[in-house]
Amino acid sequence: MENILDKLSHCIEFGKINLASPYPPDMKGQEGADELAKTALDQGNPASDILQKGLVPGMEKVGVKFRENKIFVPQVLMSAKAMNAAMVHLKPFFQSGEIERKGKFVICTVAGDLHDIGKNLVSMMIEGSGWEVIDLGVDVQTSKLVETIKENPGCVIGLSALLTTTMNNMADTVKEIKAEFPSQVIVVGGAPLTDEFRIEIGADFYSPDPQGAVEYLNTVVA
Amino acid sequence: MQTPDPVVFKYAFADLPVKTGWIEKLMGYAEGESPDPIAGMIDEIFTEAPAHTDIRGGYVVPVQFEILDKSHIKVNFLDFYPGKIITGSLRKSEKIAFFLMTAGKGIEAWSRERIRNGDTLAGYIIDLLGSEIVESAVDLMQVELEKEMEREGYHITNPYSPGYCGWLVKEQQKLFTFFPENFCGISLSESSLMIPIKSVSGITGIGRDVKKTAYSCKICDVQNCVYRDRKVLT
Ligand code: B12
Repeated sequence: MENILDKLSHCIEFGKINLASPYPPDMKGQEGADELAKTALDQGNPASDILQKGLVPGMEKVGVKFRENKIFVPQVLMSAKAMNAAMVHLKPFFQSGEIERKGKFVICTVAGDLHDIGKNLVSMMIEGSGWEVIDLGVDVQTSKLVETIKENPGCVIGLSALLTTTMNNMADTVKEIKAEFPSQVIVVGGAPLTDEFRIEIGADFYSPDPQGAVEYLNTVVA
Repeated sequence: MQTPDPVVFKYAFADLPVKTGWIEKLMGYAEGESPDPIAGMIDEIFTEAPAHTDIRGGYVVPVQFEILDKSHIKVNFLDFYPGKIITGSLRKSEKIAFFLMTAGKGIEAWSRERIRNGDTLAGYIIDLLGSEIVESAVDLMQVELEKEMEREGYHITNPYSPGYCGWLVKEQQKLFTFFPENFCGISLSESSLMIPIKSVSGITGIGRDVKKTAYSCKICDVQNCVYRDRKVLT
């Protein structure tokens, strides 16, 4: 019989939230991420295995399929929802420190910009790859980021911008952060960005899609 | 220089030709082929949409217009640099219209509210619908502009927006001076972001010898644009 962690992973991959959820149609009436996470804990599986061997591999498949245009945003959102349903059961283990995450990822949309759908997707995928995500929201001033870096030493920063005008604000933000914290790792993204721009402003990594950032972050912790 | 008052338009959601299948296509699926629960959710959102939209906009036709060189025009003696592609497309224009259009702030609030309540998928669909609404409303307004101009023997070009084809987004700062403050509830931030987010600004060429072209994707270099090769209303 299929291992419960594999089943959990399957639920994340296909966005099966819980027993009551009729989606995806071919899993109707079956237990979802919610029930399976609880059962897995009850069966004595270590919480960290549930995260690393159940949830993370499921979300990894989602990221890859999204990048390859095999699935689209709605399915990513369903998977993220399934992931959240399972995470509820793991919460106490994060708080007690029993599950260690890969690190902290602080994400926001830069000053002057209010776009957040893209940023939210990145945030979901990175959380789904085993990082703790601190989402500062939209229109975030550099001072707020500096404060957050001080409170969370070793975190990685992710910045999003959707207009060429706010890309300038992104450039300023990167410059100011690097001036104060020269080794701070900064990842950037958003529709009008390019890798040339990333190099020009001195950020560490650019990815046109969330999965690229996930893979890069894995190398940061490796 | 004196600018005439804008011609104002207000649309109801039902006035727009927006179809549920368009939203599926925008997401990446073929029309009618999005997996459950998406199609049902789109239907539900279309039913509720009228209560959350405030679709308004307008255009002005300033008195003076002149093309100075391949990428430089003057409107009411104010310099604009729409880039080579757009300036080229305005080539035979004798006048231009500047326009603004918004889907209203309600649609964003609605999307955020659904996301906050944990319904990210509905929030995302509403976000897409907001974009479609404002784009369709621009198309409808273009039809009105065209009718108006044809009465005087003029035709119109396609609409073009700052931020596309090499025209800097920040030139919207000048474009906005042709409209009254907070026109139709639309304002422009210092970083040239229009609020509400679901708003569009642009220019349309007017002249006896101009014509609309097949969609302008061929001349644009944004390969990953979700609107690439989207059909336009004619
Ligand atoms: C839909 C859309 C609109 C809609 C809605 C806008 C909205 N955001 O709600 C409407 C029609 C209203 C609109 C209007 C305008 N738009 Co518009 N729009 C788009 C479009 C087609 C899609 C944007 C979108 O929602 N994408 C979906 C999300 C999920 O993608 P995303 O945000 O890019 O995020 C993904 C990646 O970028 C990445 N990512 C994002 N952030 C981060 C962060 C990190 C750290 C990482 C690793 C990755 C990452 O991962 C995400 C998931 O894959 C883009 C073109 C495009 N293909 O992207 C233009 C685009 C954003 N628009 C553009 C412009 C210019 C405008 C206007 C200024 C035009 C005008 N003059 O009217 C206005 C501005 C509106 C305003 N309020 O000021 C330009 C912006 C670039 C520029 N020149 O400044 C774009 C890029 C098109 C272009 N010319 O190339 N727009």
